Amino acid sequence: MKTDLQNMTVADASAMMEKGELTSVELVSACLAQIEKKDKDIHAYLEVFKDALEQAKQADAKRKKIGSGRAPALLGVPIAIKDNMLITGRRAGSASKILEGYVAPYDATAIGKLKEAGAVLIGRTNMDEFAMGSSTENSAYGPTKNPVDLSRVPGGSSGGSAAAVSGDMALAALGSDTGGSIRQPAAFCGIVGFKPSYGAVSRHGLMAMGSSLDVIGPLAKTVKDAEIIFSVIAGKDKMDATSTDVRPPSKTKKFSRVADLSDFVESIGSGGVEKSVMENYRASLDALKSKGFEVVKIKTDLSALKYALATYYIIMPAEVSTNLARFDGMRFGFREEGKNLLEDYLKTRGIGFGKEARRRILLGSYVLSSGYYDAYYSKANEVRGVIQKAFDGAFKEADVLATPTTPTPAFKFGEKTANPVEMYLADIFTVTANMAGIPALSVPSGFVKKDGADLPVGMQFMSAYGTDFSLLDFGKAFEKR
Amino acid sequence: MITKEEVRKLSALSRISLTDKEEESLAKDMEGILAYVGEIKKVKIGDSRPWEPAERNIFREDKAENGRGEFKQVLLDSAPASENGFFKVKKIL
Repeated sequence: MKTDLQNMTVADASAMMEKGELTSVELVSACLAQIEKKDKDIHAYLEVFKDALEQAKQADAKRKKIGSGRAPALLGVPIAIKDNMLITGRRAGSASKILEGYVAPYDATAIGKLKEAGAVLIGRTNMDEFAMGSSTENSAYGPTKNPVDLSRVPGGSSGGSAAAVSGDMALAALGSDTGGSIRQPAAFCGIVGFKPSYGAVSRHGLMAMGSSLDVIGPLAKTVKDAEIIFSVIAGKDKMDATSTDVRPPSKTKKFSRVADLSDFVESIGSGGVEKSVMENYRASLDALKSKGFEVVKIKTDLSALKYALATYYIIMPAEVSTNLARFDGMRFGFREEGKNLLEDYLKTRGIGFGKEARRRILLGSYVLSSGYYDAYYSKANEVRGVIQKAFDGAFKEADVLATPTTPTPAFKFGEKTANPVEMYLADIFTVTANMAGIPALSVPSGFVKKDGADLPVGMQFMSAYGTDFSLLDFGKAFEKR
Repeated sequence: MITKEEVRKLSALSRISLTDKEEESLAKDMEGILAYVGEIKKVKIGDSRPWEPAERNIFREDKAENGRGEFKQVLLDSAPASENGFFKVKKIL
């Protein structure tokens, strides 16, 4: 079947369209049919763009016009976009009520690059409100379900994007990752998730959560697909002063040494890592060894990494409290009227923001307030320096650091909502990469049995800043193990 | 010990109105979270330098990059209320 979406990758689709074996209209129609069939149960999408088929027609026409071999990289490929990225003329809201009605006045740089590459933007995906969460249960528009097991969460905050790809409702998606929001849902849904080096993809047009941590990245079925999309969206951008160019593929070295971090992984508090996940981790390392990779133990002291999550939950809320100050009911979205201006602010933000957003804004204000600033925020930045130093030391001993992406497979709805810290712990392995700004890739590493279900898990691979293409190459080798 | 008073002060600073029940619940949540994140006091800093952004004072030329009024209407249309080319808000002073 030409449009067998389950087994179709971006690379396959592009090749088939190039050879004239498939049209973008056929491909996008198949995705739309799948959405029609499945999304009422999954709810990956907040909006499916009504002009998706029209975009596909234009892509096919463009391909005819420009001739073979010269089609831009993503021509006609349907890609889903997380609701926190601006697309001109379309709604965007970070799944929050406070941005109800807001229409984006410009394209995010990453979106502009996708458009230039000919991608069909098929819709905007559900997420935890303002990217705060690890399960997509914090969306103001209802949760998204994991296509692999509808009683379980898809992860978060890019849960909608992960579910769209895993559920064959898009060939790939863009997400954003501040503490694990691309990688964790990718692992839970059995797909690839890539968080590039900080700055590798412009943040212009991405609604800011933690400005020193946020990164846009791809969710896809294969590492090769993730690489194709990354190549399109990466690049220094004058609209984002923190953006940078990473080492191009031609200048990347081949990775050969992988670090076995079993000791660190097992030391993560209160028996948090499930036995089946540890077994999967060790099996994956063994598989790498049999493929000829050198698996080493690190001598550098990595004990600071145990505090990465605590450090993250000081720095990120602090940055959040600043970044979300702009949502005041004056310039965009929703306003709840009060008796005077101050009441407009208080009511708009009290009602417009959901529980988790309010929690993190208050936490951020607390750690930045006088009397607490030194003990929390200043100290956190010092610890962040220690974490970076630990990574620097580790990368002298190994090319790649490996951990399970998450301590458990996808959990059930409501399982972790009673205690905030319980939920935060889902990101215990992923936050480390954001703290150091280094690239990190989650690759599906098989399934574990839980409650009678087979649930996907992922292996997380991290490498030194700027070595994105080497890491992606390594990921491809792991896929072939 | 996070008190309701402290939560009230923070919510006033953050311009977020909370119900009594929400204040109570937040006080409890923040207590738990701060207990967890407070563990960082155990980390020995040694001779590492605190984290700093890689960039410092990146400037651009102070000249208009868009056409005159290019985004004016679309920005006004985004607002909850606008009139005669202004965002409409309640009196400030």
